[in-house]
Amino acid sequence: MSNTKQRLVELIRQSAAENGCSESQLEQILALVKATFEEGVPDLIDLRQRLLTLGGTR
Amino acid sequence: MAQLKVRIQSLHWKNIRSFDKLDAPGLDGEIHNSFPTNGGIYLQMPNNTGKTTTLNLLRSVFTGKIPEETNEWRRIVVAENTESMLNDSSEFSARLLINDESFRIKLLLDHEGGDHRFFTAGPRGDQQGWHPPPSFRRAFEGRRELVELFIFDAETAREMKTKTNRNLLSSAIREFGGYSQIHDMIGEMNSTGGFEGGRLETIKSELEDEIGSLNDEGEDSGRQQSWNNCLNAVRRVRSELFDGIQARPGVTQMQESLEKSNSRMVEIDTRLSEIETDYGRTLDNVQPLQDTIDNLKTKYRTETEKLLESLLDPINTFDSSWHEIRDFHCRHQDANLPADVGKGWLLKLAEEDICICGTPFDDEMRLHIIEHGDQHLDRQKMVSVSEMQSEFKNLEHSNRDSIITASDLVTRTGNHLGEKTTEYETLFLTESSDEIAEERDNLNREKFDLTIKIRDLKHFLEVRTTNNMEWLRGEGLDTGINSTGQPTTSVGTIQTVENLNILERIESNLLGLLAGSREEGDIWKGLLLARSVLGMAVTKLNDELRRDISNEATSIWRSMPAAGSERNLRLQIEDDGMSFYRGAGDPMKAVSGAQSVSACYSIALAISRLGHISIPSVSDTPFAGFDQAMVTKWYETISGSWDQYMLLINTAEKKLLGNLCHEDYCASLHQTDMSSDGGRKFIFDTDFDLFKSLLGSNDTLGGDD
Repeated sequence: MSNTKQRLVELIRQSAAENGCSESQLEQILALVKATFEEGVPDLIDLRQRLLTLGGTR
Repeated sequence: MAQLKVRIQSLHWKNIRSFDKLDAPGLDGEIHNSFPTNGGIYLQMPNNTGKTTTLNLLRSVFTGKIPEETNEWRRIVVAENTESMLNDSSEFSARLLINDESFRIKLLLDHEGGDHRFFTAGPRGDQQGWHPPPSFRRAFEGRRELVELFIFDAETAREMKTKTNRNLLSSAIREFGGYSQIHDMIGEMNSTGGFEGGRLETIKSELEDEIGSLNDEGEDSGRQQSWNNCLNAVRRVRSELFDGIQARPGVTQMQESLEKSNSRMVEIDTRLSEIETDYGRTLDNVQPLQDTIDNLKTKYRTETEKLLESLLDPINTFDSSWHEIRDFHCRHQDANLPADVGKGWLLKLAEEDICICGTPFDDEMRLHIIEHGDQHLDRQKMVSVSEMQSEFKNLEHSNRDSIITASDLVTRTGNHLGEKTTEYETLFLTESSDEIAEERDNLNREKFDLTIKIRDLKHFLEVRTTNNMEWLRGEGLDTGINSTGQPTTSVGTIQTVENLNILERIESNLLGLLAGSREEGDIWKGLLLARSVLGMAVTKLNDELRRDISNEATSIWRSMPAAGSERNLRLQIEDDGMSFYRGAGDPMKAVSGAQSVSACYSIALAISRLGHISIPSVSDTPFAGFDQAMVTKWYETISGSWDQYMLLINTAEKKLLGNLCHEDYCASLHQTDMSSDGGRKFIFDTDFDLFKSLLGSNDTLGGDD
């Protein structure tokens, strides 16, 4: 199981590179994934805020 | 450690078919006894006592889904030698140990009022409805196809070829792989390869509403109104492409039609395979002939591939000096002009008042052209071109021997294959009955028509749903994306779009334009980026794990008797179901019943191992098509692979088991008398002597009720 999650993180890194993400954007996406695994999907207000920051980051 | 551990503790029937009231294991007063949580549980139930019914009820308990048809589960009684069914309510419940906590899930069937319900009793009290713990719910709720891999009979094992597809595996993989929460956020992959649903979809809807409300307040510019019109057109066209319009079927109808056609194809292949087995292979000398035909088919395919390779190699189709032609063109990619014609042209240009780019010439520019023009001229170019033209004036044919040889081989192999096929057909027609020959002809004709229909449906579905833009461009079906790769913002063009993925790109672009013009742009950009990055990652992970499960299941399958007896068999989970292969050849048309059953065990085990989950396997009449040796091998594999497994067997299967199960939990459900309601009365008995001696007059090594 933990191997599956580790592999997912590796694939997210690859996918972020293919999508042209900056290092900061990648870190934000990984933080979102970590929060989702630990506490479930963030609520709408939290998620909107995270997306706003992600979309506004270059 | 297992993330989800489930054990069946006991089963309880009330007013269900042959059972008036029965508990397995029996009660000690009001105290429940439990099955062992590890090892095999062999429940001997003679045919027509309710094995299949029990299996279906247990599936309902696992999925939380009340079956559509419940009439057949009513209590059967006999009055004056005539069977009838009572309308009294029926109850079935299973006590399950889920992650070491005991839950009793009861299904109450109200035959008179139709008010069927679940009840759940667990550590936190009794509740109406189906309320197992979240890990169990996420794994099994509504997923009958998945549950059928763990709780199955010969019939569902046969059907799993088409049911065990990419979607079923994807949902199982994400659940048991432990990353289903990511899908709760980004949604599910739709038919065009994008993602929809999940919490991001709620935010997308909110953004759309916010954009819409701004529009209602009349703050939009003309461009914004135009984008909004385009969005409305996108939604209209999407609905048409999905649901169809007039004589033009939508994706939904095409998928339904494809599913029906595939099912029919499986039926035809199974029947043709039965005919071959029952009639074709009984003929003298037919097996060597069939082997020759199979070998020729493989050779024909290989030789055709070689011919194609020869044709595509320029050295075989152009002049033998093809390399010179290639080198010549490489040398002349310098963009220089031939000096003989270029010099005069440049000098003439320098005399003009205005350059060809529209800039007025001044003296400095004229001087620059005269002094530096030579740098752009090549004195040898005309000479080289002339030499090349002379060289190839009388073009010699290349040596095409390799193409001719390859072509001859294809022709000869094709003819040989045709002769042998005709020989086989003649032998078959001479020796088989007219009815069988006619049935076979009809099936082959239907198969031919169906093959074309399936190919067409797949093509139309591909056009509608692919995200392969290269292919769409090549087919001229990329309407909606302009020459620079940008999605259209024209209502007229949107109305002619044929592909849902393009439509999605157009919509996404329009929403981006609208959101960007209204300060929601960053949220929209973040949403698209998160969905794209996470969507790509989970799709790749799903595919990797699907391949792993196919390999793992193949390895388990080969260790089992039915598949292990044939060499090089492998199973592969593909988009439209499971395929079985022998070696590297084409998919096999069908596998035996015993092979299907062992494939069920293999897939279920492979999935369990992926998630380190521990779920019982329950099978009804699992030894159909098995012989003694196969059962011995089966026992070794299953008893070593499953923590808890339950078998509902009839007395003929019990005989086949011999002494294999004497250390496992063995019990019999058998009739002792007639009940006071006029139906049969059954008791549950763990007496091993009774287990060994019980006989059922209708029991065979096949299915029953």
